[in-house]
Amino acid sequence: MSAGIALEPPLTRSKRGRSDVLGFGLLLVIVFLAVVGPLFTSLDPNTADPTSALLPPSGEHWLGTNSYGGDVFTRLVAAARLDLFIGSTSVAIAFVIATPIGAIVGYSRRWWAGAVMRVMDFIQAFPVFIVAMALVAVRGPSTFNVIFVIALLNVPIFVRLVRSEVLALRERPFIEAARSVGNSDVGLVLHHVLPNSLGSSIAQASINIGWALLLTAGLSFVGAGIRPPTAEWGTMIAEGAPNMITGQWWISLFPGLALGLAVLGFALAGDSLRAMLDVRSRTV
Amino acid sequence: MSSEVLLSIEDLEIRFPTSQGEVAVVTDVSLEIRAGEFFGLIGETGAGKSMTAWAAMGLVQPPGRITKGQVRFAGRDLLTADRESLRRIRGNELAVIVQNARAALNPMLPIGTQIAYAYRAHHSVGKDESMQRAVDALRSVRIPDPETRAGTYPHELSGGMAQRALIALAMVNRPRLLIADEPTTGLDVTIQAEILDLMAELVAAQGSSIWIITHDLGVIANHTERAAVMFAGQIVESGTTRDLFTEPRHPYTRELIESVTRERPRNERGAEPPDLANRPLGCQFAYRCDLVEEGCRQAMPALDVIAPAHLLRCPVVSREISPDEAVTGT
Repeated sequence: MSAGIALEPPLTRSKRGRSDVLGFGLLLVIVFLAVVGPLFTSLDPNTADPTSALLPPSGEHWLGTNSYGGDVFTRLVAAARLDLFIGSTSVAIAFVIATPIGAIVGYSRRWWAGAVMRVMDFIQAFPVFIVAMALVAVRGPSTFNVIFVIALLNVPIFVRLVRSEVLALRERPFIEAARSVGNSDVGLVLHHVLPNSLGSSIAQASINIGWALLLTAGLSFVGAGIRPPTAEWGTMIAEGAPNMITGQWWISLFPGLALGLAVLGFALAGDSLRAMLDVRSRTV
Repeated sequence: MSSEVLLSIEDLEIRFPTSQGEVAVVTDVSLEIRAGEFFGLIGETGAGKSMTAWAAMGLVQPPGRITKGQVRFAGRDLLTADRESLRRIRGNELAVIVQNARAALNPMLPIGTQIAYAYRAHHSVGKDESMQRAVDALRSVRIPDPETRAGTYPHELSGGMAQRALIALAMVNRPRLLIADEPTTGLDVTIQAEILDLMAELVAAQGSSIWIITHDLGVIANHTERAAVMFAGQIVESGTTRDLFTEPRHPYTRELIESVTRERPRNERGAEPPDLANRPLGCQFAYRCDLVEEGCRQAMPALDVIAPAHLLRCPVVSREISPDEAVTGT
């Protein structure tokens, strides 16, 4: 562009495609590693072996070992399984609970719809991390409690999202038309409103799984989530942190990288899903 | 003419809140549609035509509200009916075809499925049977290869096909009255005629009535037996379609008809409808009427019966026609 205002070019098909490939590619690699990774190693992720502590990456220990001799690669793969399980389960639970609430609150014009939203405001008013820490502190650190907390924090996000979609959909002509031929309220919501609102929820779910991974790792890092020696990306980063100064960078770096790439993968995939599932942008 | 009254609207008033206070978008509207009748409602955009139809369907949504009047369908009061009985009437006995068919179909559901759901809203049948009904309905609106087309999504249909699918959706439960709200807006002229003929044929075949709402005088002339003219939320004249076109009485009706039949300079006082938030006291049309008299601006004129089945809301013309016995109607 020679002169005048240089406009940001819209995402072209090829650029869009590249971020799609990157996002889904990252997810594919991480899920693949989580599923088949244990086949590459005969070691147990939680066994200590003081004779081979703090070894740098080598042919025998691909990503090195940690301070008590645990194999970092074995632990990384085991952690991927646990973290993906926590992330997807907690978001799935929130999704299942929040979608009907959001649909009812968005569709109904009754007074209690506002009351429900104020409850959601209440949950969201607290800093996420503080609430998570407080809840886990009260209930005790365990996989189940981490899932519970993350699910609870995700519920208002999905309620809000579904509600706003439903509010917009409610006024669309095809809803009026469907109502005018006698569909009941339940039928309208189930067959006509919800299917049209799911696209953005699914995209949001992918982004929120990434966010859940981050939260799980964060909680575990400060000791409020998964407890060591259980392999989890956050605990692995925490256990390698003291060794960073003394030069054993591999203990924290690899779980950190895995976490970062996983979050990036879910975020990009979420964006791609949003574009793909959006009926408005769908062409014939 | 003497057949049973299917839908009767009496003295209807609908108000909407605006920044300038509550505005009556429909006021003092009364009309009757008989079984088997083809009725038309003409008026310009914003005259309250569609709103009147929504009221008849019990679909006036908040913040709009019906503040006065009665709507009766086949003897039942629709304004006091509970949600469930209204739902049972909608689609089953009273259906509506809205403008812009593509927007009126759910983009995420195949058209056959949408029609099947509408059928099952009124009949306790299984999936297979309701889908069969949907295919039959698509066949009746002459969509080619209905078995395959039932599985297509609205965005895969042309405008004309989408309109046919919408008619199939409205007609699948064989309603006794079909309200067609600007049914052909946005369609090619050649397809418009086809769609209207198809709709008229389907309705006539099952002895139902049709209520066409449009601003297109040609549609009214060709497809209705009786019509009413609406202006600024009121009915100003109603009668047989033949009478309205051959002997239009109300100055507004004349202006409408002349606007298409004759090359005539536009009314120099402008053709903007009156501001509904600050309605003039008397006749709403007085500000651009050629026949205006002092009395017109002081009191709202009533609908006079000037001939059998011919009502007129213009005291000046009424007096001309029958100086002694201007009968005051509703």
